[in-house]
Amino acid sequence: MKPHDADPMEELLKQRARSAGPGAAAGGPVCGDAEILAAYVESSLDTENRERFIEHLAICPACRDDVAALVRLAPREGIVETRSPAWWKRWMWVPAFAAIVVTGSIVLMNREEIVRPPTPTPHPEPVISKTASKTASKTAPETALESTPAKPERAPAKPDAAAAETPIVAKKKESRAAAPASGPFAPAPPFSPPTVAPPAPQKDEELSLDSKARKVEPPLELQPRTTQTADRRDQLKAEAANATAPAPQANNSQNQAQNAVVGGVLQGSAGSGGGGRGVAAKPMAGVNRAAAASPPPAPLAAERSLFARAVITAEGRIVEKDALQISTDGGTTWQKIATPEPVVSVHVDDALHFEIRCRSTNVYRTKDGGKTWEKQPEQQKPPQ
Amino acid sequence: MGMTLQAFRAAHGRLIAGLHGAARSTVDIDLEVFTAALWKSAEKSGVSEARVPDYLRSLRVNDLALTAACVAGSEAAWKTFMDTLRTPLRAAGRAMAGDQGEELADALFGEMYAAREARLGSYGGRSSLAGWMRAVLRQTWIDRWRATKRLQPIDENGPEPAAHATGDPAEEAQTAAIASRALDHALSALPPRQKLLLDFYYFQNLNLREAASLVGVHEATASRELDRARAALRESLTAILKKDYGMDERRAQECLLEAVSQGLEWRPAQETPSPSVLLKERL
Repeated sequence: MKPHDADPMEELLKQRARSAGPGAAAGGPVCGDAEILAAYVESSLDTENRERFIEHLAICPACRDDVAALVRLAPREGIVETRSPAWWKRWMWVPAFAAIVVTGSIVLMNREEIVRPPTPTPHPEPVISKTASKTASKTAPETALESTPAKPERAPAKPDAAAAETPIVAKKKESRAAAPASGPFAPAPPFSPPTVAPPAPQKDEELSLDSKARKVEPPLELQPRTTQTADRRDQLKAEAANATAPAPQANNSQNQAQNAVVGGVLQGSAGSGGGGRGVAAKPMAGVNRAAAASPPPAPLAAERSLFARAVITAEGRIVEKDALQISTDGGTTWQKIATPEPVVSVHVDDALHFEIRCRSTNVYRTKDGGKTWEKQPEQQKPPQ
Repeated sequence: MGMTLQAFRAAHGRLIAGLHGAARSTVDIDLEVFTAALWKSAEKSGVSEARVPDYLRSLRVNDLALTAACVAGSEAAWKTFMDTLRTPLRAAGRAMAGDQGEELADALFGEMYAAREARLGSYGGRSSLAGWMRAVLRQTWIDRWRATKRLQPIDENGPEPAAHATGDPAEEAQTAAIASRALDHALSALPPRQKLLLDFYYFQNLNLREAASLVGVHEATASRELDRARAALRESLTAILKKDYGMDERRAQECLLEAVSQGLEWRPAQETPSPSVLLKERL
């Protein structure tokens, strides 16, 4: 009996195997066909053939293995196409992101500055000036008058009977002083630190009998050093001469010192507004740009809190030789500056350059914050 | 299709002429040779006569014309063939098997030149010529590897995967062995598309985009399909463990967890064809 007589399927399978080649018996004609495998990987098969091949793949591990291998071997054309032609274009978002971050930070910092309450800066001068103003207004208006640098040529008033200590405070009046100390992102004016605020008008009225004149007179702190010409020196000399004049009604017996705290504005000639008394030779010092003496030049914010003061008697005598003091922190701490002679006025140009005028009319200048002093040549006296 | 060449030419002459004009941009091929290549491809695909025009339009006529010209003996076409495909095929061979792969690619070109009719003539234009060459290279390499290693191809009618419940449960000392057998059975019961996805994603280590592309679905759809396949596997596994091994629900879950911790003794995939052998055993 022939095989196909007993089982026709056997002969049928053999014929199918011969016509389709190896693998056809198990996987059919699509199994192992390189073109169909490649077309399936490339998604080139039509829907009908694709579904048919998926059914075959589900039962044929070898074809699945081939398909996976062809996927790995295929060039990543899709990825290459999606890449940017230039590498730097992939990083173009970085500058934009950085700009957004910086802008956001600036906005947040600005808002924080505005919302933050003003930090009180230690500044003893206003307190001293308040006391001094009361004392001066009650007991020694002349002293207060002399303390105003606006009228140097004004004759001093009557010598004050009260020779008590009369601290006179002149706040720095730099134009920058009116600006808040927080840099470019300044808070609103109500939040301006008190240390840099200009003197209150009431205090000025108390300090000066000629408050109206002071109000009219423009501030001179903006005048550069070069503009302080010989006129100022002449006025300083006149101030010194007045200071050396005897004070007829001064209570010299008490020999009480008068604090003369100098700082701020002080037009250079204003310090020479001496009167007949020693106090008239006001220890006013022109401080266009106050600065510290011994420490290195302070930054801008620190300069706004810089003051200079000297202790003199009611007659204009320096209590002690090293009475000149400098503060770079708004008056919290003071540093004595050694001077070759008793000082009657001081002018601070910058952090290291001081110029003092002494009782002997000598003018000394330092370029290192007071460590060394250089005597300046005497100038011609103004014509009488 | 069951159509003679003359009938094919008569029925689709205008379409053939248009395709021939497009193909001549790549290679100078005679219209008769080109028509014969189109007819042979349609005959091989088994496409119905009504769909022949669509089928012809879907072909890579430039690649088909190039191989047809090579088969016809055009040296210019062969030079173009070599210039176009030699470098990418050598690169594919190197990626597949290193230096041996490059040598194999060169040898494949030699074989194709020697037997252009038999080798190049089997290309029908349904895929790109480069993709087809990569598939041929892959199969050639597998055949050579098997010959070298003296490994016989898997017998399609070979032993079936071990039945999940043939052994005595009392003798299944290893919980992992029980879970492994149950997993084999559950995998074989999955729908074809889910089985393909699991195979491409887990066994072939393709990424999700590649696996989804092979199955013909979107990546998100493939992800959901994988979730459903895993859920179905877990449900099927539990059912098998409960039904065939007499476990209750709690013991079945413990068995799965123990199998995960102990491992199923999966043999790692190698760069040899053995993974397909392993998968065939398991799936």
